[in-house]
Amino acid sequence: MTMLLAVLSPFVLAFLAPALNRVLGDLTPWVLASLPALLFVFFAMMIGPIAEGEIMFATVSWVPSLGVDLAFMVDGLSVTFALLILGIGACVVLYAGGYLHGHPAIGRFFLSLLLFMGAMLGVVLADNLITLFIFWELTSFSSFLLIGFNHESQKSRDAAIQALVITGLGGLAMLGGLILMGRATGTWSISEILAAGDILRDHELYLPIFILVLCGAFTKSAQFPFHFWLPGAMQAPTPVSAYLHSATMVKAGVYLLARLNPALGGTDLWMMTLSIFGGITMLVGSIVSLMKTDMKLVLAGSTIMALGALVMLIGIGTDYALIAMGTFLVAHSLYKGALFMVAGSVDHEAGTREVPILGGLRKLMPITFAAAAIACLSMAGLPPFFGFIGKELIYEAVLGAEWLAALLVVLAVASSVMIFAVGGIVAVRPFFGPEHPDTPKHAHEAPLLMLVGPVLLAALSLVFGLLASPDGANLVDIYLLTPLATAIAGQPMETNLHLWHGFNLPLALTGVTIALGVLTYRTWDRTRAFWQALDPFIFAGCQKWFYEKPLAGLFAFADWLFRNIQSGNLRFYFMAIFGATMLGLAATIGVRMTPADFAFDMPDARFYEWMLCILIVVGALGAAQARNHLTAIITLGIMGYSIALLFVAFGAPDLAMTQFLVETLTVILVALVLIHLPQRVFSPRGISRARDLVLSGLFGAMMTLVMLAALRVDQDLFISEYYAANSVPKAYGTNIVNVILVDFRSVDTFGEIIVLAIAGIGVIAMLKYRARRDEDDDGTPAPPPDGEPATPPPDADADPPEGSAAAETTHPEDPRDPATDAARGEEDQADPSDAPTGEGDDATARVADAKGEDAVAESPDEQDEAEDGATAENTDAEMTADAEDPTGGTADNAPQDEPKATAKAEEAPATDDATGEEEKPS
Amino acid sequence: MSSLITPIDIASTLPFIVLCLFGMVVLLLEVFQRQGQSRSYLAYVSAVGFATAAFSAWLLMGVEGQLVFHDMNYIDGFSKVTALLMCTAGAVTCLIAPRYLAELNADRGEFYALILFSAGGMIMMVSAADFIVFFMALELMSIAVYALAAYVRSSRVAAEAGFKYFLMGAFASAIMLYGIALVYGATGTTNLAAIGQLLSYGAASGSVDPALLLSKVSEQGALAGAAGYDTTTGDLLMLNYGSGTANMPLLYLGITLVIVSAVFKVGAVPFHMWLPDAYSGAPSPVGAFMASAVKAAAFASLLRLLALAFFDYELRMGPMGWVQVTFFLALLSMAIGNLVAIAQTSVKRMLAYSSIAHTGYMLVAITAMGYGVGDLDLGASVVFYLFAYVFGTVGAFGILAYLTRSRYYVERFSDLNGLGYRYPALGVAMTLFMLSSAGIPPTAGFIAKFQVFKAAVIAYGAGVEAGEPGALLLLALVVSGILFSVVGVYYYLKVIVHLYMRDPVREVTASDSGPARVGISVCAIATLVIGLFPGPLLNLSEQAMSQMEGRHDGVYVQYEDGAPIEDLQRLMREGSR
Repeated sequence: MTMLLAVLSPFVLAFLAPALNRVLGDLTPWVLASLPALLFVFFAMMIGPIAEGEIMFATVSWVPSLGVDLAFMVDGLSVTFALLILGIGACVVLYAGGYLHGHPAIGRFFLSLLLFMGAMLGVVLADNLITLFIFWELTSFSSFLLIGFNHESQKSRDAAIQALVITGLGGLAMLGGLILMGRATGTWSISEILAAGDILRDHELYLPIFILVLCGAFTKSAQFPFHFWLPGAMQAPTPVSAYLHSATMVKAGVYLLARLNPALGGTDLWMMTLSIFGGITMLVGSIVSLMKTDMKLVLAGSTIMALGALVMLIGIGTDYALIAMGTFLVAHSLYKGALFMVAGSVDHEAGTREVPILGGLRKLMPITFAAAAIACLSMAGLPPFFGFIGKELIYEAVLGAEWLAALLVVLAVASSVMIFAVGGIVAVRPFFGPEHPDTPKHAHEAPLLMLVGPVLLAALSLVFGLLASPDGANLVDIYLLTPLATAIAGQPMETNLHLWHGFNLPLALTGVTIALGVLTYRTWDRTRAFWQALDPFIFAGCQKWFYEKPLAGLFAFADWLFRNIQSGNLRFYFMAIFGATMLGLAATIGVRMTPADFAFDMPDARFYEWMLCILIVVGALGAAQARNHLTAIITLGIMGYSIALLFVAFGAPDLAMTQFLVETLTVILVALVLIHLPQRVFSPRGISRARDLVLSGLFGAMMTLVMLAALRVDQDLFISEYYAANSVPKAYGTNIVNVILVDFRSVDTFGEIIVLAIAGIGVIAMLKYRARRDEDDDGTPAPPPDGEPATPPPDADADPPEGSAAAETTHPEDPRDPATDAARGEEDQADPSDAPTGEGDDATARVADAKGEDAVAESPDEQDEAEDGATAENTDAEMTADAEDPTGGTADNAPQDEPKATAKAEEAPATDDATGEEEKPS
Repeated sequence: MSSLITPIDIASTLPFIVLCLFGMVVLLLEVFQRQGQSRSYLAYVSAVGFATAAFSAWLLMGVEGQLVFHDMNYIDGFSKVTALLMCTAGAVTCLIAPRYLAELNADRGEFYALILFSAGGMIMMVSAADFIVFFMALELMSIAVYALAAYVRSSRVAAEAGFKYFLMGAFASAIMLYGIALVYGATGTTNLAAIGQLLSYGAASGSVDPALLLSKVSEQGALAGAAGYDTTTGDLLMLNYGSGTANMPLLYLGITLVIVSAVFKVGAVPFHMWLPDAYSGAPSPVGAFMASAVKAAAFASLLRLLALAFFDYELRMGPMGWVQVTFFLALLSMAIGNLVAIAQTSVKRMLAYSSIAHTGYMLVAITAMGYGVGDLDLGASVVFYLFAYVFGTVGAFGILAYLTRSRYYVERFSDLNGLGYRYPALGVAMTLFMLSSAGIPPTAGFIAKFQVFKAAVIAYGAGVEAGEPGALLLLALVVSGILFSVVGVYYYLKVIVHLYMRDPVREVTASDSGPARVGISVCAIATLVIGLFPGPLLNLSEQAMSQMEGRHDGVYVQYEDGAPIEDLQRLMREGSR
């Protein structure tokens, strides 16, 4: 629980920071820095037990069903990182207090900074893959806020977005890897996964896991070819660079690799990839640092170099390499943090960070200079600073590498040479020599707040170096390096750091490094142009090809897609949808069906049936050819009526009746709408016409096939049989039509009666509303005053058909009640019609009318027949044609039930019209 | 014959009934409304209606899952949980609407009635056990939303949006209906579970080995059976039993059409054309409603359809099985949705495209659910995703509505410039919604995406163990999903950049509507709380799937002597009115 509090406390403080800043004013940095300082002590106290081989766990259940816990683990690796994060964090908070003194948004800055601190702490302490990822993403997001802190500047916005896109992309890829890892090992717990390294390395998913995790680590830790975002991120205020881009966030990727080394490491793939990419990054980073003149960019380059070196060391994976990695990690964090702060101080005091126009600051800023000097000596790798030990170990490690030792040695020496020069560039050039005339401001020593950090960190570089100097198990070995190396290796390690290794190859290499380094520094002004010429290959080129180009391409592609897919053209939309539907049907037909599944046999049709078919085709073609709306409607009408006649011919008069009504109504509606439409019909020409033709032809063909397939289905059962068999025994009625309406479908009937009644009320309301509006004669859709029976639908005034339906049903004398009464009358009649008397028929027939089943024409005859007792025949008559044809098996269930379904679905719109139709007779 | 309607029938449809009643109440209140008087209170009435409906759904949690209304509806965990979801979306929509409508001079009561009716339709649709109920509910939902899309009559854009939406929606409905007719023609039933059983009918008893079943199914045809019309009892199985394999092709054709239409409703590429125009053209509250509730209902009902009727192994994994289809739809939706969203300058349109992308992510989970032996429990990730998505989307649309003043639509990115400082709470809320949509922790959207991708990985693992073909493609789907969500991060972030890092182009003053603030806060808090403590909601969504009644589950009903067992008969009988 204490651990949880420790991890979450920065978040709490973060959200309090703006308020605290308002209250405390200048004291804020001290107060805020006290939290990381306290936490530093908290974690420092764990070092003792950890040095004895203990690993501390703390788990708070979070989402048990996902297996995601707020689980934390503190071992040598995480405690080192935690201490770096908190220690440097405290320094940076103080430093930022001085650097951004008086800045209006300093509260927001502290908020983001502490947010980041909490997130970073979470990353290094997490013992759960998902928790790790969550904190990981939080670091990306809070770093986005920090880099984009000066959001007025387009450059810093772009840099913030670039950093976020790159690290976010990597982070999500890593999530994929983590999920796979969880899948492969069956646990989300990192400590358990570390123990399951053997399973993981032999798992078939090893390659995807490896690649995805690497994407996360490489993007975060600015490895080649993603290194370009780091110099870009220097747009951030300097405290941010000092914190995020030297010691903490960029090392998250290194942390991840070191953390997972016991689980994923040790394979050839791991070794090769990491050491090659790390080596390249190392070289590229140091070249970048030489071609820049801005102190921060120079340092950013050297940070890339350091990150590359760390990754390479993890890749090499020998004991030496891992110890070197641990040493260099700490050494680099210390000196680089200090140097960034120095760069910020110089910028703050002298007004520029451009090395060529700086000089002679030594006397003006003596304390800053001292810090810079010490840090640079450590960076350059000179004894007795900690950096020296780090560099010596790196040389030993690359010399002992199992792979490509020669290449790695060259890379390591080359970059060390350049980094040596970098030390001169940032710590000698600005401070020695005469004051430069172009320096914008006359510098003064930085304020106290801005001195604490660099001095402390620089001093530690020396202290660690001295502490680690004695041969044998010294303090640094016992409390820092041994636990650290043990955690990285995943097995107990012995370390023995000392300053003097005797005259050996590494020492010789150091000599070479110093000599060449001095040379490089002395010739820097002259050779800079050469380094800058490499820019297109190693820096700008990467940025261009790995970020700008793909991004621009993405935008262009998105734009193209947008313009072409979402044209807003309904025709195109329909084309796409028809096309896709056809594709689906075609695939189904292709995969699931054979020619035998279609009823291809020539129908045994009579002459007039053929004629009707031809009429339908003619109608369709005519509609397609029509040059104006009227022709189109007429030809469509021909088609529709022919279909209706076809229904008649096949003995489905009810269906035909419905079809006639629908057709008529459609023509009327369209005609009414037509008045408001332009006369000219849009008719495509040329290619688009052909395309339309092909599309509609195909769609027609597809539908025909579907229909032929439907015809092929055997129908052994008729619903009519069921009714015939059950009418008497179950419902005690001999008139099947009546029984169907009042028994088998009584609820339907009941509901439809209600619908009719409501529709009636609606019609009355509409009529009254219309009458009133005619009086008022204002066109606003104002609702009627209180007490009116009902409101019209919203579009009543704009919708001609409803108006016309209403007009047809007008009862001049009494416009209020008759419809309701009629409806009620029907209801009354319908209720007692359980007994199959003739009286109920009118009502039921009318109801059927509304249903779209339209039994009007038939019911009298059928009733007669029913009274004759010929029930079975009766229903046969309804089903006519099919019953005669045993094989034909036309889908008579379908036509029987289809209109029912549609009628139900369309009840709402249909009833108004139906009411109109119906009330005429009454 | 049992009694017509039992109390449990009524009780189980209570959420639906409540919504419809409230809809009618709202209409009645509108009748007695004085001209010129504010209708805001109708929003509260509707919100209370949604709350009551949600509460009744909650009360029903204890009721055991079962078929009600003569096998026409289910009351089960799934219907209850999704009802909660739809009620939440509806309630928030009602809260953000009144001021917006007043600003646009469109403050009329029908709005709320339409929302209520539409939500009623959704709840009915998701609980449907039968195609007939399903389709009616679908239309109840859709027709109300067509009207809503064109609700602001004075706006040409809205009218166009509504009209396009209506035309394409009508097309989809027709396709659906045709499909249902074909399915009915082939099987003789419209009962979802029965169709599912029939598809797998013919499977040998005592074996659940998919490969064996597969061969049996294709040999015998699913519908070879013995039961039928019993003259002595009068019982009838409305089942085209005697035709062997002949009906199978027709059944497949019908299913294709039904699935096409269902996919249209969820707005998956290439059936997404209507979606951006409709979402962005419609008034913002309607956009919110369409993007959240309608989409959620469409997805929930898709889950129901697939789980009950279309979960047959051959249908899923056979040649051109729907897993292949959803695979490509998911890929296309993620790609097109995310990519085209980058090109947008209007936040509303961006949200519309992002909603297509979200469709893609959810389809990933559905693909995973149907892959291999099939694991319906993986569908829980879709339910969870829907919750996260609904809060994020309604909230974002709500903020746009909140900022809109009469004649000043706030729709473009540049309209949001600098608003994060001017309205800090609003800025934080919008940031949360965007982070959630982008899937960045610690918001609900992250857990949702995580769940979806995890589902795919689980399905991959199961597929590998069972030796299914193409398991690696699932992994590829996950990876591409992750890559596309990076693209997503870009345009969601753009909103945040505009909120905090750009200088205002023009003065935007929020409408300062109290209820809208409540609605938006609810969404924002939910987004964060679900992200931090997803446990309860995860349980709820798992419950929804595990307690889905009638699910087919890839386990085949066993048959004795070629006759279907009792369960199937019960489904058939009497349902065949």
